[in-house]
Amino acid sequence: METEILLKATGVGKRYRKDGFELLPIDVSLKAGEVTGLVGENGNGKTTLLTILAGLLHPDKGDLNYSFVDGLPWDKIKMETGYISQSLRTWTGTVYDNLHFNATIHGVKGEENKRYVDQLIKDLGLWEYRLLDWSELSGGYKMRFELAKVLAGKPKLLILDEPLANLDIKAQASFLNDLRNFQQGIDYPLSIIVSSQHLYRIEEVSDHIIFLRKGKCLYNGPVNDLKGSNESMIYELVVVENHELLKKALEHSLIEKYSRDGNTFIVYAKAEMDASSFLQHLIYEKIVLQAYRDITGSTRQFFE
Amino acid sequence: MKIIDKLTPEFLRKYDKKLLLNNPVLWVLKLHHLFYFQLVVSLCTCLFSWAHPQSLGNYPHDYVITTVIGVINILVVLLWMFYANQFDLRTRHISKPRFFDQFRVSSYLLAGLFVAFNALACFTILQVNTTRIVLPLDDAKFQYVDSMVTDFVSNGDGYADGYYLDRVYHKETGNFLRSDTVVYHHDTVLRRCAAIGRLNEKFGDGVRYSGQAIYDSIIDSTYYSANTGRTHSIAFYSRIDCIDVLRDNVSRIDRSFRFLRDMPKEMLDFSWISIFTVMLILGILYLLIIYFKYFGIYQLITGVLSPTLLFLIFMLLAFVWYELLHQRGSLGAALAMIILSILAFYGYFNGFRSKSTSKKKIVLLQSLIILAPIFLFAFYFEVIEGAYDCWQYDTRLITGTYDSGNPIYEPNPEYLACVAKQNLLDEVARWLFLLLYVFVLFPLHLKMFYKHYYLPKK
Repeated sequence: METEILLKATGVGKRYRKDGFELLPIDVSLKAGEVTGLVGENGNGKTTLLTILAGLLHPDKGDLNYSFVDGLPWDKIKMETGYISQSLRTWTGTVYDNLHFNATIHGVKGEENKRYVDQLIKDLGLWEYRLLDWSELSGGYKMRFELAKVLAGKPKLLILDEPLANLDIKAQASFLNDLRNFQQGIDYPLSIIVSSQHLYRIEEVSDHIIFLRKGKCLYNGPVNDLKGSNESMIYELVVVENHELLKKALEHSLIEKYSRDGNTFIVYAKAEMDASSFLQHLIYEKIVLQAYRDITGSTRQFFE
Repeated sequence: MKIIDKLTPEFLRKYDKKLLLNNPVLWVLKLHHLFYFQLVVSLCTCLFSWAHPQSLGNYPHDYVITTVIGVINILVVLLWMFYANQFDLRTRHISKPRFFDQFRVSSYLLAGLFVAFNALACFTILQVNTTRIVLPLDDAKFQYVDSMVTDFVSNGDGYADGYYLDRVYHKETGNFLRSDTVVYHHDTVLRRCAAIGRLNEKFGDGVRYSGQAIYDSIIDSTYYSANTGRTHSIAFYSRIDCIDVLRDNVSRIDRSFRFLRDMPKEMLDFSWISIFTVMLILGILYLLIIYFKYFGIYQLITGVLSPTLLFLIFMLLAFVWYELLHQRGSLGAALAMIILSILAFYGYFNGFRSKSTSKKKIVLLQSLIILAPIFLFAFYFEVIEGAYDCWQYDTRLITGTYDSGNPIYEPNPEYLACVAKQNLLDEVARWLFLLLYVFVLFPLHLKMFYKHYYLPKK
């Protein structure tokens, strides 16, 4: 069965007159049941793209087509769109009231509201914090409650801008996993697009990935297709000591090239040198590795 | 806001929860809280009105009641406004934002009406209470007693002592002649004293005299010296004291009668003034809350206080202009208003220069919604209506004949036509203001809110 496209953005672009930055035209399709990751370095147009998709920013060019409405009735679109920005607004009242309230204004009323909100906060692991005030919550829980508040309105599109920025490593993993699990457990179509600098975390949960650099889209497709799109194998190494020994080890016939940024090396190898044989080669050469990752299927390769 | 939760009874909490789960618009406006707490405040202030007037000499002055009711009500409304502004539905993207805004404005009007109702209720209780105290006397009886006291005072020392020199009509000369016969009027004086005494015992405050004591004091100038230990030489003054106290008591009763008689008129005047004042205060408070939410303290000062101050300065100038210089409806006033309005708007734009244009427009319109009617009404009353002042007697048509030094004014032949024109102007102006508000300002304000919160920014 073909997956429903909830939002189709065709050739949307935006140019800022003040600093001259331009988001070059890009096509985005957000499908029901999918998570789309949006990655790229700072100031490369991620927030611009997300705010355009959320209906907060008017694109200079391109078209937006939301499948759940006819035309562009923004009040209806925003009713169905949940957007969480980088900086969270302060809540007033108890978090529990806020969640009920958001569910009610989106048409989830009466006992259904009570059941739905209770289930939601249990799913997101917030039950014991529900009666606290906003000021009593830590940064991580604030983000979780913000997510719960948006989800309480049963949005069709969920747009998250850098939700992991203020979370610790453990919270980052659980936040995205809970989000993914929630999406898989609901009975209505929901498409999620999430931007982050933590690209490995994003790639773990995403079905589709978009990479932006200087406003230009370098990759826009399924995560699984990233690997197939490369003729080479690409590895990321972190080596703290003895770089000369490493350089010597990298002078191998199956290694095409490498680049270095401090202690981090990106190594491009021929397809014959798969991950295990490359690792064996390094061990054989007695290289002490701090970190090793196969990034052939990751957008990490696009970072300069 | 936790204090409000603690003060909220269980039934209201349950109702609040029910609204939260079923009707978010009503829940967020917190009208149920306003209604409940306003009712409690009404009961308290009415209890104050009921309990305070213990006697005619101690019934509360209008200003006391007005201040008490005003301060308490404003506090309640202020709390409610903060409470009701916790959740801004516009930022939550509801399906009918315009409907919500209309609802919100209605709720502020409702708050003003609650306050006015509260004041009315308290004044009604005050009236009933005073009526209860004064009820044993009817107006005619009071007039009778009042005239007796006046008699005692005006007929001099001799009359007060129970006798006066009789005057007889001399038929031949046609003059009244003074008789040497001293006529005693013990029965009359005693009866009058008894009446005054009963009144005084019942309603008098401070020094009270029984009818017998009044009589004794009047017929025997040594009474006071015997009872007060004063010397005989000051007995006369003691008697004057007695009469003064009686007059004080009578005048208190007189005031209470006037209070009851004038109550409906005062009530009407008061309710209009109170509604207008409350709406003005609510408007400014609303602006403060909204501005604070949008911008913070700097913009709060520049954006709100400066035009508000300008408005107050304008009011002061207008007061000086009209009341002290006795100028009405002149070109100068209109110019002053226009200049001050320009200054006020300049203050707005200047204050918001560093912030988002869209928000500036919203804040400007938000303020206009509240300030525009005030400016319009002021403009109407002081300028337009002033141009149609209708004089019943035309001072330009003084005939030049004088009677006892008073000029005779000729009736203004255009008076009735002028009044008719003024009435027409009144009607047209009222409808114009209403239409301007309902069909221009308010929709414009809603449109801008929609544009700000719902349309993508350019």
